[in-house]
Amino acid sequence: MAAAYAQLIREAPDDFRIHTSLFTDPAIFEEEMRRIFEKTWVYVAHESEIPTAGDYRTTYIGKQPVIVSRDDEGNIHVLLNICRHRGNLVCRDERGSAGTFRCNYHGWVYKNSGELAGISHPQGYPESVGRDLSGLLPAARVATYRGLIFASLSDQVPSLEEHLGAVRPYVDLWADLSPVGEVRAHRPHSFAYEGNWKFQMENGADGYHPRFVHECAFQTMAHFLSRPVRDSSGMQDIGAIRGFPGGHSILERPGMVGIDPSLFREYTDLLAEQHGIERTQRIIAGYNILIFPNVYLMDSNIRVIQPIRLDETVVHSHYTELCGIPDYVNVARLKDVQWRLGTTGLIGTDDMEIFAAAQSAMQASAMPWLRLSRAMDSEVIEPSGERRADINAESSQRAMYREWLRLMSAS
Amino acid sequence: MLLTHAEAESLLYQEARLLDERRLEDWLGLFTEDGLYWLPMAEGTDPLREPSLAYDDAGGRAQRVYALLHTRHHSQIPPSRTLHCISNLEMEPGATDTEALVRCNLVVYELRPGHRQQYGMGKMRALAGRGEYRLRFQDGWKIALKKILLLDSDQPMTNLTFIV
Ligand code: FES
Ligand SMILES: [Fe+2]
Repeated sequence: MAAAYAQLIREAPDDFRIHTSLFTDPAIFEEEMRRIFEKTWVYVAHESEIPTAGDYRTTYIGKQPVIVSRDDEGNIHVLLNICRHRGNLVCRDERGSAGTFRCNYHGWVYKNSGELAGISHPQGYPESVGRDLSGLLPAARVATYRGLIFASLSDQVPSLEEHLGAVRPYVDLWADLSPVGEVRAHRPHSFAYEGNWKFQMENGADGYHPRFVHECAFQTMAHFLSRPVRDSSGMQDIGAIRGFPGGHSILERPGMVGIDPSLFREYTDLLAEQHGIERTQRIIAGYNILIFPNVYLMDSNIRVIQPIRLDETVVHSHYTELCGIPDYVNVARLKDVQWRLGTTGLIGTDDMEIFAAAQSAMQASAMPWLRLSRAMDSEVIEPSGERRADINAESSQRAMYREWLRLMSAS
Repeated sequence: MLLTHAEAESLLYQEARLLDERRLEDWLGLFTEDGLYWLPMAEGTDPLREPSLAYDDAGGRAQRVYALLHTRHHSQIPPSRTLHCISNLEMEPGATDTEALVRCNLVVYELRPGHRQQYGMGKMRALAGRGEYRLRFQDGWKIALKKILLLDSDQPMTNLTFIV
């Protein structure tokens, strides 16, 4: 099978194609969950979603249900949300606060650290029971970086810092949007679309599509100049795409969308005090940061991609409030990100329309190869492996599919 | 004079008709100048500081309507056909000559016509929510707040680009 994946991604110096079965073959979807989501670092939550001891939220790593909890000592755990007795879901709630989790099937109880706290009617068991069970299965690795919690179900992974690699300095820029380096992730705008998860992963760092897909948003912005939006007239020609080893990438979009932080002097002065003028300019420049395989960091939101089925995906877009800045700036940021990327927003919804349409068309086998070769000839390849080109380049998608192939082919 | 039950009903029916007939510029005229169109994500949230599905002042509504009627808004090509059904209308006590609070249930049927082979097309869906309308007398009764808490307001949503 591993060799077969190499047949689905064709790379030549001037040509890069992927096969539509990556979007339409149910067996490939199952393998992706196993070989990608269960084998690498996956974003699970932001620390601010579980700020105090006992807080938890439930989510999924690929298909595996997990609880992200903060125990009584304040330590973060990522636990398989599957009862060690007969496999029932231990916690149904999406979020909450609890000292213990009690399985509602036969009443086994686990501490918020995962430890097995008690077996109901233990006299029915031989004495040895439970001694081999420490509690809920923990993720093999858990680590946080600048408030972002990642977990890996495999222990065969490098450290999180190493995994983030070249994208790590951009995560720092993102977190430093707050002068105190602290953001608060809110309840998400959540979307379901009928299309494969990779469409959203491809799209957030695709600088080639906005002038077409987001015509609506740009026309509307142009018509109503009263909003403090960045001037979008010169967009598409400035900015850059950077693809990195590991599948991560950056869309740099100075002046493209979002509020213009330079209109909020009080805010940028706070940043400059902390970081100096030069770094402040870099912090507010505007990036979409793709961390493979399942999360984007954007100016005002964390966008988490959750595969459900081959042709169904849920996207959670958490607005991120910045700590340590004037309230009115956050009010403006929320209004902007909701207007663009919220549930009824003009930008995110039009992207998802395309994902569903592409999934529909690809059901047909008549056109099996998709082209991702833009700017292969002009791409600058750094010794670090970074590949950089103009904002219309498909360097991001190529980086992602190279990592896809590496993980899918690993033995 | 106090707003009567029948008057409240006819204002809400009129709104439903304007939305269903896509007379959205006329819909804008139903609101007071400081009127709000609000789809909260949960009860009790602060719309300026916590996310909502939509929180539109006059400017926001004008932009939404402009986008729907005058731009290439792909998720509304073809546009949604909608049918807004209002029921369980109740007048809150405490109304004055110029202010009234009306509660109702709202069901919206929605369909984008198209090939069933295409995801999202040719399939009818229903949205349901609880409505709260604050009405104010200003040259006739106008909407000062339209707040709809959808049953699935905090659940993943598919294409909510028409006006609820
Ligand atoms: S399955 Fe959980 S206690 Fe039996
Ligand atoms: Fe987009």
